Amino acid sequence: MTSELQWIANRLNAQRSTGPRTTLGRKTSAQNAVTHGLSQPVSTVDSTVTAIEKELGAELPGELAARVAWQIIELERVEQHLQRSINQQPQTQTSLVDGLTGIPLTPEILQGLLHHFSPSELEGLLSRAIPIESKGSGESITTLLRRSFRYLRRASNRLTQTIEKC
Amino acid sequence: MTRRSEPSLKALAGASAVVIEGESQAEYDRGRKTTIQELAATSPLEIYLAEKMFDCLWWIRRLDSIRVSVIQKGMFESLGHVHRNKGIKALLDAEAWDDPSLQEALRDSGTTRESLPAAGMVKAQDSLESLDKQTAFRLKMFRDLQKAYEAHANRSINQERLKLQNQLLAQHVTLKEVNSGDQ
Repeated sequence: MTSELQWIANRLNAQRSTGPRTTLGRKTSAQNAVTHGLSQPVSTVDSTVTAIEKELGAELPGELAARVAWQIIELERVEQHLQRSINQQPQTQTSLVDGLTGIPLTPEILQGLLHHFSPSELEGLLSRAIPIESKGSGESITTLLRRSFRYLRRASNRLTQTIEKC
Repeated sequence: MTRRSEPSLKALAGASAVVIEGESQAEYDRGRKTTIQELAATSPLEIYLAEKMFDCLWWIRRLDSIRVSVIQKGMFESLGHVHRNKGIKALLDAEAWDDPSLQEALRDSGTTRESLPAAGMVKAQDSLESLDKQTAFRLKMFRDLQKAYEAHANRSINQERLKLQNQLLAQHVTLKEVNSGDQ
């Protein structure tokens, strides 16, 4: 059961938790849920759309050229995202684990061990530690590919169907 | 055939580098150029579609190499944790099965040279399924792009044919008008 004092403290703290206040803070927190931005529509007034539309002007009628230009940008955005995801793959890291138990010997754990073991005991413990290879904390390449897959499928289908049917 | 000096649609759409670490830019450029030439793509849209078709083939090849590395990772993770170090990884990558350290690692992990790849595949099953799905999609995307290319190219040919027929018809009409005027 929460004490009355704790209850009051919670209420007071809650009044201070009002989220971001400045314009920049609000703008930043508005992007918190954005993971890749691929679901955001491409702006149709973008200068890139106009440039591509102009290039396509000779072979496609006006409205169709604009639609195809928009769909090309959408497809290239997903392809670029995939490209970046592969290039930003986490590097392999080497970390220490206890040779007997397999427990990772993180700096925090090693710090804690200092309080419980004598230097000679600690030396014995570390002598059986082994370095192991692991990926960084980032997502695996297949996860990244899987995540963008439906966007790629949608963008590609839209473009090919438009060109085929027009 | 006219060669375009303007930037391609892909570049205009913001596409920058296509190759990733370990891939050859020269090989990519060569393949891309050959595809464009073989398809006789001349207009911006035709060139773009040809480039995308080649990109699909490039992706299929890339997914194959990712598949190999995923299996290798699974094989490495199938070994006991005491053997998961850089040395063993290098031996596995080099397929140095006769190396005493690798043999010891296999023995301790209760696996053999024959069973380790299978164990690695089991370990990486989810990733492999995902990669298969991606490969199948790139193949479908290639076919769709091919259909779109053909539809677009045929449309241009038909338009050209209609234009020529109209010109021919107009010439006939003019000729008939001249003939009737003479009579």
